[in-house]
Amino acid sequence: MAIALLIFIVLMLMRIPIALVLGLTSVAYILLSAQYGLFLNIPQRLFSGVQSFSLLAIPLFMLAGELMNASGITERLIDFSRKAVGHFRGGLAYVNVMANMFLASIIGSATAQTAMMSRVMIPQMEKEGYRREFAAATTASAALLGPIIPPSMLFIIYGVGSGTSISQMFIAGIIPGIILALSLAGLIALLGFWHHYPRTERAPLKAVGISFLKVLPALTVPAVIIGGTMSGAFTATESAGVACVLAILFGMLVYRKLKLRDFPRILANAAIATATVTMLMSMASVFGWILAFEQIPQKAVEAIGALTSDPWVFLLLVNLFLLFTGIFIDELAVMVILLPIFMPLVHAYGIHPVHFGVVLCLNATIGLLTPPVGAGLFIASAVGEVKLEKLIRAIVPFVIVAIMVLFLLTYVPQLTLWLPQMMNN
Amino acid sequence: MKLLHKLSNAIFEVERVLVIVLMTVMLVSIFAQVLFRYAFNHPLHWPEELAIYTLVWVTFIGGSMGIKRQQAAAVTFLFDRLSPGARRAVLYLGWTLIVAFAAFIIYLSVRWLSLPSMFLQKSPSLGFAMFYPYLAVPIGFAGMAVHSLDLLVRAGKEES
Repeated sequence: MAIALLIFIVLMLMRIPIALVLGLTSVAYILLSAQYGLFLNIPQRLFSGVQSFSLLAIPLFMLAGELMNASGITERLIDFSRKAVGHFRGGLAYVNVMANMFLASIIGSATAQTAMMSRVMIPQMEKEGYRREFAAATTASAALLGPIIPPSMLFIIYGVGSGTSISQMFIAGIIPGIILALSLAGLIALLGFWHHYPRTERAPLKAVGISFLKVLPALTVPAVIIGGTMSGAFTATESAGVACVLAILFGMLVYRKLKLRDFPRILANAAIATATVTMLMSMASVFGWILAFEQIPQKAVEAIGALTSDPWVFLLLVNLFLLFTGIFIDELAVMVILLPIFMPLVHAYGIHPVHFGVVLCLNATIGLLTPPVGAGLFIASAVGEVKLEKLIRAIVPFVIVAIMVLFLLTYVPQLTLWLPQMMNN
Repeated sequence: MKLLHKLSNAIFEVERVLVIVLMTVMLVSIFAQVLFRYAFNHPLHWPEELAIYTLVWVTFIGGSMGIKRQQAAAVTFLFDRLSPGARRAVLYLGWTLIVAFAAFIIYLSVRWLSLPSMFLQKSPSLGFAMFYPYLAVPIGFAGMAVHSLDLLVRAGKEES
């Protein structure tokens, strides 16, 4: 197994796609242990790894996000946020957080959000006198809300991988998302007084109203997603399908920006984006099967169980370990590789899987902002044309605040569990 | 080698059309499921199954397209710091491994799909042979093999 681990690390460093690294390592392990009979099971495993109704939420939410973006909804959300909170000191920074919060309730991926928002917000903020790296740092860190506020790709993957209800995960993400948004806003307020950030003219109430009416149809999409899953009317997958249909209706009939000729591109992009996630899950199911075959999860339970019997210490270890691995490996990969090892531990320590899931996902997302392998950093720096070194320096306070929220959520489970438990009663 | 590149591009075009159709079928089935349950009070069983199989196909076909577009998640920080010569060597080795892996999965899938019992397994509500959903695995990896072979041949040119 030690050799297999070494092969895994070397392949990873060779820039081979992580999904294929998992597949190649599994093959290498079978060869090394000379259990050739296992080979024949691989294709069936690859298939069953993605044969899941819950996983269907991923392509449909990806599609809904692409459709909403093509309908010009991002600009409308920013316009409304700007008229609502733009007149405070550091106004555009709040606008950034608020628009990201809205966007997070439509799409569920931090990297997608960073790409969309960087293109619009960074030039605007710079024009109004903010430093470019501060604008990029605000955008990249506000995008952390994407996978916490429902819908969320990470929650779906966690739910499927751990056997936890995805609807429960979605409901559990709401309060942590609001806490994170408020914490980021608090930091901006602090920095605003420090650096004397500019404010925008207060918009007349009527303009705020008009802007709200324009954005209202688009807001029915998150209302359907959150309301539908909370009331139990839809599964997460069904709410994603309904969200797509609403996005098509509003985009074509109300906003009239979505054209039929855009559809092939949108559908193909959503398919490729989906496959990068589901292919990883397919390969991970082979990898997880090998781990189980070697009884790695049981051994991990014994080893870590001998280390501590305290669930709080365990959560601390998991958080530190993930913050560390998140520096090197992509968030999704961390999740799918480690879930089969973590879940038996979570049950052994009596930690609520919904609570653990929210902590795990926030932690994995913070990894997007930590160099050298932070996808969020790369996107914000590339799209916003900011030097990576400058952006990294500007983002430090935001990462510290996010880590503080992470520990708050880790040690106060009620923040996560209260809402879903209340909905159950 | 030009022929290989043309083949890879042609396959990509076919894959593109295929995933567009698959995504459309997926969306329509899920929406039909909701519509029939709530609007017509007549729950359907086939949409769930059909949608799951389209997802399987999107996974393997889209996975092949992701290789062609080099869009799959990978760890790049060490690679980016290598000298051009070392990079080329790593690329050659990496793409060779990927081609070999894809070929091996195709071989395993063909053995799996030619099991005598294969056509006896039927999907629970649509009733067609499971052979057809399963076929996504070798077809996807076949596309991947061609794309990565093309990228292997071109690896030297790209980096120099």
